[in-house]
Amino acid sequence: MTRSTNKYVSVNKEHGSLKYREIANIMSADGDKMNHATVRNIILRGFTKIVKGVSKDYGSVIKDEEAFEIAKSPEFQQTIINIIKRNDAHNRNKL
Amino acid sequence: MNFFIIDSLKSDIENNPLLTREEEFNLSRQIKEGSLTAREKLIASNYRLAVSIAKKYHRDNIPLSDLIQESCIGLIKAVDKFDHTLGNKFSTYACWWIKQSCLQYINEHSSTMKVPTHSRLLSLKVRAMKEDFIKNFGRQPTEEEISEALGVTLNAVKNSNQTNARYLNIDSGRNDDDDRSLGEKIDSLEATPEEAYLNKELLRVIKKNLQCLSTREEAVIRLRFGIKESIYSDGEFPNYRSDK
Repeated sequence: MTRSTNKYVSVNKEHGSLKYREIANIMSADGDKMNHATVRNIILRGFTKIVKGVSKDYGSVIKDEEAFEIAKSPEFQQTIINIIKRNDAHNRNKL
Repeated sequence: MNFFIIDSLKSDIENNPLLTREEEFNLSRQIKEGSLTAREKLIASNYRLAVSIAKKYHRDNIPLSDLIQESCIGLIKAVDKFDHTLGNKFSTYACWWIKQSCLQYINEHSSTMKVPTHSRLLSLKVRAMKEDFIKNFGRQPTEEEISEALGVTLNAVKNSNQTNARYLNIDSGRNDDDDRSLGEKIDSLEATPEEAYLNKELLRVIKKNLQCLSTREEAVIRLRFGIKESIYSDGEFPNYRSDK
């Protein structure tokens, strides 16, 4: 996962990641019509939610812009993705 | 090995005393005309110079025998390229080729990774500039200041700092006073019990907050990063399919 300055995170296709437009097509085919920009916004909104939730649980107030900046960072996104993958593996083992 | 090479060269050095300017000129002229004997004579007469320069570049991590061989290769190049008509003394010309060969060899063999010569040279300039800067201003220069002072790009300075970092053998560092290797002296990279607890707590908080994602957000994030299953331990990936 990489990011050039002031841009959004780009993903490595080899790991099965999809482009915004590809995701928009899949979601639209499944009945949830959206375009690539919406996909990007949904992803960032999701990560921002996590940032805000975590900071709230730690008792600190974080501004929307700050939360958005953290959510946009590849380091944060990579960490969350790793946690999700680990959680998946854990759940698989439980089954 | 060192002694063998130096001894074999010693006899050549003794049998071929230093040449006068006229002799060099004549030999060089004969070489241009295709004389192999003259070529051998000029090479053998300058082994002394090759050994002398090789000794100057000798360091602990580079065998002297290898360095002497490299400097002899440089000497041969110099003999082949020397132009007697320009009026220069052969040793003046040859020493640059010998130095070049030695430095090239050192550059390629002194570290595990091969670093391009220009990058290594830049690194030397950076080091010299840093020393000057600390003397004058009493602090380390920033990368921007280095790039400005040397007239190179910031990226070049950053890359040079990264690629020319010194590497230490983790098994080295034993001496008479301390029998432990460097690896044994480094602090453990494992988290302390306190850090482990804090990490676990953070993980728990993050996992809890992952549940706040809507199904739609989760689906999109999973598609984006190529994760197939649901984050909910009890649920399937609802409504959305990752295959088109």
